[in-house]
Amino acid sequence: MMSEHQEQHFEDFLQGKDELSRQLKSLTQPSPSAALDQLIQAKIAAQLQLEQLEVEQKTVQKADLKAPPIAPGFSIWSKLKDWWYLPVAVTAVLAISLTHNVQQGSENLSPAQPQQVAILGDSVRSAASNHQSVPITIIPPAPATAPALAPKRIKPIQLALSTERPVQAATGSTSSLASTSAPAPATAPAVSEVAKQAEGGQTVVITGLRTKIEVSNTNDGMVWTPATGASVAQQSAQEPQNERRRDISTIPVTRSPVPVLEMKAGVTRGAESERYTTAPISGASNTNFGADFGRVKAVDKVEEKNQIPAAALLWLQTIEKQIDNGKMEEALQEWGKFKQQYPNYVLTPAMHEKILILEKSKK
Amino acid sequence: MLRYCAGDLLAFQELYRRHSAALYRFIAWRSPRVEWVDEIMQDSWTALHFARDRYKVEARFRSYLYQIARHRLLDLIAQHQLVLASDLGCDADGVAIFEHMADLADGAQELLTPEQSVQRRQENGDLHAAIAALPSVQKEALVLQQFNHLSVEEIAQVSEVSVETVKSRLRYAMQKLRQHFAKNLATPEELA
Repeated sequence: MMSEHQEQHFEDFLQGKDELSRQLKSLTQPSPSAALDQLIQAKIAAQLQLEQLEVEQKTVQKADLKAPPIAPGFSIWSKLKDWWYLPVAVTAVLAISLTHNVQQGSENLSPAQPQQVAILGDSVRSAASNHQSVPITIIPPAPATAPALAPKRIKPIQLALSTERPVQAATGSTSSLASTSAPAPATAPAVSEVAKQAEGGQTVVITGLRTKIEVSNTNDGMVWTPATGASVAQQSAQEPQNERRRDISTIPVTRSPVPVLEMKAGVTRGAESERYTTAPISGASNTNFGADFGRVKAVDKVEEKNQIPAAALLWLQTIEKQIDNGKMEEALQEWGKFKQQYPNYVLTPAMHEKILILEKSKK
Repeated sequence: MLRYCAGDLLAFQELYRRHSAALYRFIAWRSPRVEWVDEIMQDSWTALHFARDRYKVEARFRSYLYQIARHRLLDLIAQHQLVLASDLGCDADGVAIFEHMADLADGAQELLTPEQSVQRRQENGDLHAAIAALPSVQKEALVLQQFNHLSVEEIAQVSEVSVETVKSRLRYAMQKLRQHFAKNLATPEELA
């Protein structure tokens, strides 16, 4: 333990009041040289300036980061170049989906074609049966032969219906004309438009997809020509393309007492199917258009004339010459044969007068 | 110091003007080699510059600056693995430092008579030798207290010891110096 005397000396030493502290204070103290002072101050000043420059550069860089400069003319590309795959992806998806739809559609349309015709046939059958009391029997075409057709086309069909006679839809494998007697009363609900137009005796056209059904009711009957896969396929294979457009009037028709269902599968495409019209029936009675076939007129008489054999014309010329030469008996015999052979032949007025003179000479 | 932390060069220059001499004195008294003083001086101010962001207002700037210089000195000593002469009591470098300081003191006493100058040079030489003979921690406390005018608390903060430790170091340093002066001041008759 330090005594109070020593503690007093220590306090005096700390406060610089004793002799020792005065001697220590009298010692010459080292001091830095002026060169060292300038060196240190210059070094620190340079460091401060460098730091300030760095701060300014950081501030400029931050400002640049907030609003990066974009070269004019490249702004859109610089924004979109990272999204180049979007239009490519969209295009690829669209292409794939379209291809898939096309393939799927081609696969689905071919088997569905006969089915659509059958459904449409039901509707028409119902309309005809309910409103006009016409029993209709429709035999849907066999779908097995349908793929032979063009896959996306549904052919126009024509069906001749009679309002008083049972009408049968026929599907022929070798001929477009068929007649069966299998009346089947239809009780299905009618299609209103079809029924109304059928009642008015107008031509009804029902178009579903590419199917065109024309119902021509001129009090004699209706013509309905449904397209069947089998008949169309076979007919298209047998007939040339131009002959498929033949109207019903161009078909050689024989007088038939039986109810006639004239069915022609018009194997046409596009506008050809729309040009396909019903067979013109003029002057027909309400019931017996089959027996009274003479009232059937062709729409195009030139075309009808082409159907008369050239031998008939020569035959008529021979008869005319016989009349002119006064060979009345021979001419009368030949005219009788001609009438039997061509009962529906329409004579020219001059020839008609000569025939009348010939018949009067007989009497 | 806060202005200097913000980058004010004038604030730094003012700080340097106030504390550079005292810091250099501390380093000169504390450094075992003369050639290290300038190096430690530059390193201390440079270290202060880069460490100014860590400065806390609670601490006095002087204590903070001396701590930096002291750490730099200790690092340098550790790098050279020197055994301080003051710790052994007979180091040539330490003697050289105080001889250099004594030479500097001689230059400041030009107004004295030649006899007085010789007597003063002898006294200063003896005093430098006595200080150099102190243990380093006692010498550090003595220099900071007597030459840099730091309080006991500040010395404790710089030296990173307690206040009582600093006082103890100062008492021992005082007693050794007194004993040295007692021998020198005693006349031959008193010694006999």
